[in-house]
Amino acid sequence: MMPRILLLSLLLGTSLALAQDGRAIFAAQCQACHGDGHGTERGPNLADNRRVRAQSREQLLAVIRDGIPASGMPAFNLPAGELGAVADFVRSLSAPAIDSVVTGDRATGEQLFFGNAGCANCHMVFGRGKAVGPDLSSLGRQLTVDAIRQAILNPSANIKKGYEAVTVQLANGDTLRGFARNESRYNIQLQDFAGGFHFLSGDEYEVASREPRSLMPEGKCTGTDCDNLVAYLSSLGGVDVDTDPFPFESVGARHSKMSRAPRAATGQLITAPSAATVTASSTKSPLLTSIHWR
Amino acid sequence: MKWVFPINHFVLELTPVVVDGVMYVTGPNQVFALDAREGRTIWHYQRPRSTDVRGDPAKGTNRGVAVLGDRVFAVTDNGRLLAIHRVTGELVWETDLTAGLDKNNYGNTSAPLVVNDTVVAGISGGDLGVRGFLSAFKADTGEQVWRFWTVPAPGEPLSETWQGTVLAEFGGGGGTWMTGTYDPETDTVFWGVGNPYPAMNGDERRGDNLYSDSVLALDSKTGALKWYYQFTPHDLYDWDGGQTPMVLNARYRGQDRKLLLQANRNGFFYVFDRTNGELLLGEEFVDKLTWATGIGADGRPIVVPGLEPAHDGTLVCPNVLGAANWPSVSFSPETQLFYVQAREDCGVYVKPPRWNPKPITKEPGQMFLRALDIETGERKWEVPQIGTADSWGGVLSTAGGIVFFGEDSGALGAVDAATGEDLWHIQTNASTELGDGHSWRSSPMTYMAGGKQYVAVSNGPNILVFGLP
Repeated sequence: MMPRILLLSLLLGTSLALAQDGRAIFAAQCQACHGDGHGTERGPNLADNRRVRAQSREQLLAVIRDGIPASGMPAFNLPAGELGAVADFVRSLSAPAIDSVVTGDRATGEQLFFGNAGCANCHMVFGRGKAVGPDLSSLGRQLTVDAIRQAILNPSANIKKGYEAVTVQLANGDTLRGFARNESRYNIQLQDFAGGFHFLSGDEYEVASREPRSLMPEGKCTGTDCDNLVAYLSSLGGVDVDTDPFPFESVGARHSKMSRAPRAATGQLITAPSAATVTASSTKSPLLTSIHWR
Repeated sequence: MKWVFPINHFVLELTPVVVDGVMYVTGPNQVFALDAREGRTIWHYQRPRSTDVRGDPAKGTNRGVAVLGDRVFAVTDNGRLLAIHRVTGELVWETDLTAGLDKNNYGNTSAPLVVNDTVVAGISGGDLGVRGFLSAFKADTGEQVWRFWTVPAPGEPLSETWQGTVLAEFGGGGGTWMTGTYDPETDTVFWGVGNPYPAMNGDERRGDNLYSDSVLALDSKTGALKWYYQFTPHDLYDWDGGQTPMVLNARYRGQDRKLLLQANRNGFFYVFDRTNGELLLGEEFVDKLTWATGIGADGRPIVVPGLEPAHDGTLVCPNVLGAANWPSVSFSPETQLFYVQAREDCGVYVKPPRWNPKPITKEPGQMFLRALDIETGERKWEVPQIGTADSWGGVLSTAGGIVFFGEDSGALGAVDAATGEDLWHIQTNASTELGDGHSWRSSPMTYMAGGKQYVAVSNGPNILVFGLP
């Protein structure tokens, strides 16, 4: 087990270094046409791009190396390591964030998320935080790294369906502000910011105002903080299933309490079970956790 | 009718659950949160159906959710228990009940049950030979608290009630496929256990086959057995014991008693003292009952010999669908009557592995809504129905003196709780009259939202909701 974890760490470490190089090399070699990856009038957008996503790493690498003469893209005769680094960076612009190489530090980003950045005051991850805005437990599978960064810097650009803020006036004159989780000509299903639902129909309410902007404060991170938050959010691949097996033999048609690895409130297995609680599944949990948090 | 909500699955079996104005309904590996007044979707949780499961779970059956605080609990077809957040509709935790087991034969179909700060879930697969169990999990983390195996492993205590090779070759069955009930007064989880495996051949499972076809009374904190009662020892007719047992406090033969009631698939209506399992009543609630002549003083059925399934078929009553099945029963404190959809029918039981039934003629079956006196089992009134007697419609009695029920022609009917007189009906046309295989497979419920009372029921591919104008 140990050698595998070590190998994994080494690989990850290497990839992280390469990705940083990739961004720098892209800035030096590709920016003139592709800008920061979102394209310019001289070169197409490569971010969240289906055609890019459809290419394997090798195919992408070949395009960079050989160019696309007919479209005016030149060949880039870079050393193999640099070619690979650029290809990884370009792929990360379109791949689900969890499959991309990111530059920030995940653990620091997690501290920020649940600490100073205040994200957890509205968002939940693996049952931690507050369920006011959308749950982010599988964000790394839903968005690209780039889209995650944009969602932090410019949250109003793309508001998730059901999280548009609306203020309604009630028949008694009171007003109520919340997310329109659903709405029709005949009724509205409001969620207030404490997680309460208010279902209103017919003449019980009138929409007083609609807010075109996201309630999420924009640009709450800069520089390394931003990278670290993006790294954390990119790592979120959804809730892991608990597969701790129950002892099949030995209990008969009787009850039994099981002993097992301690489990955090986040739904993740803690990695260091005490000797008394080692089970078949807890011995493999360190590896699972490492992979999950890449 | 107030509103309709469609789900992309043709034979819904769920009972809606309403909490704080939100209705929770399920389809195959799907959970919806709806505005209970209008049916508008708040959120929808969905995952792909499993391709490697068998039996009822493979058909997409899912009978609903349980709710505690901000958690909504549901099962998946492949043995997973899910906790979904009430507000976001996203997964909070997920536990695999069948980890380490032969997964393809296990599955889940029924709503979990909240018991204090735990959630209890059972499994399906008794007909595929799994070894049945019931488990409790911490509601906040999904960590398992206890597990009760309904069938012993070979050589363990109670395996003497399984003489033969079945336990070694298979798991013995004893599924826990229908949601049980929890009684806070006695801090007891009551849960029905399904049939032994193989259902209609007992040669290699000679003996009573405990705890198949039983009701279990389990300590809620440890899963320890307090008492059990086996309805059909050595079942050869696939009758299960799975129907949700009803907890009831009532004046009973002059005493205030804590009761447990079940109208079993085997044709007998049982009343227990739920504090100790004492059998107070065991009376036939159908006329077509040939396998036993009654329940003896020792609590065991007085079995008629010679009616075992045979390779060329044996005519036995009730039939395999049972005199009653998992759809709901109801009790009205006003009328002191117990209501059940009773099936009068017989069936030809063939013993595997050779299926060569001789032609046997039998009368067509018929469904009856029956109102039973719980002290005597006497039928106070009944509503005979016209149909094919293969519907699975539940019963709901209300404080307004009405009994709603899934009628055999496919109607949702409402009758006077005291007399059985017709009051109202709507034809949903969920019936098998045309041989197209769909009929009631659900139970009505009632709820309050926005100060009004509604009646809701799943039907075919829809949730139907009714209320007064």
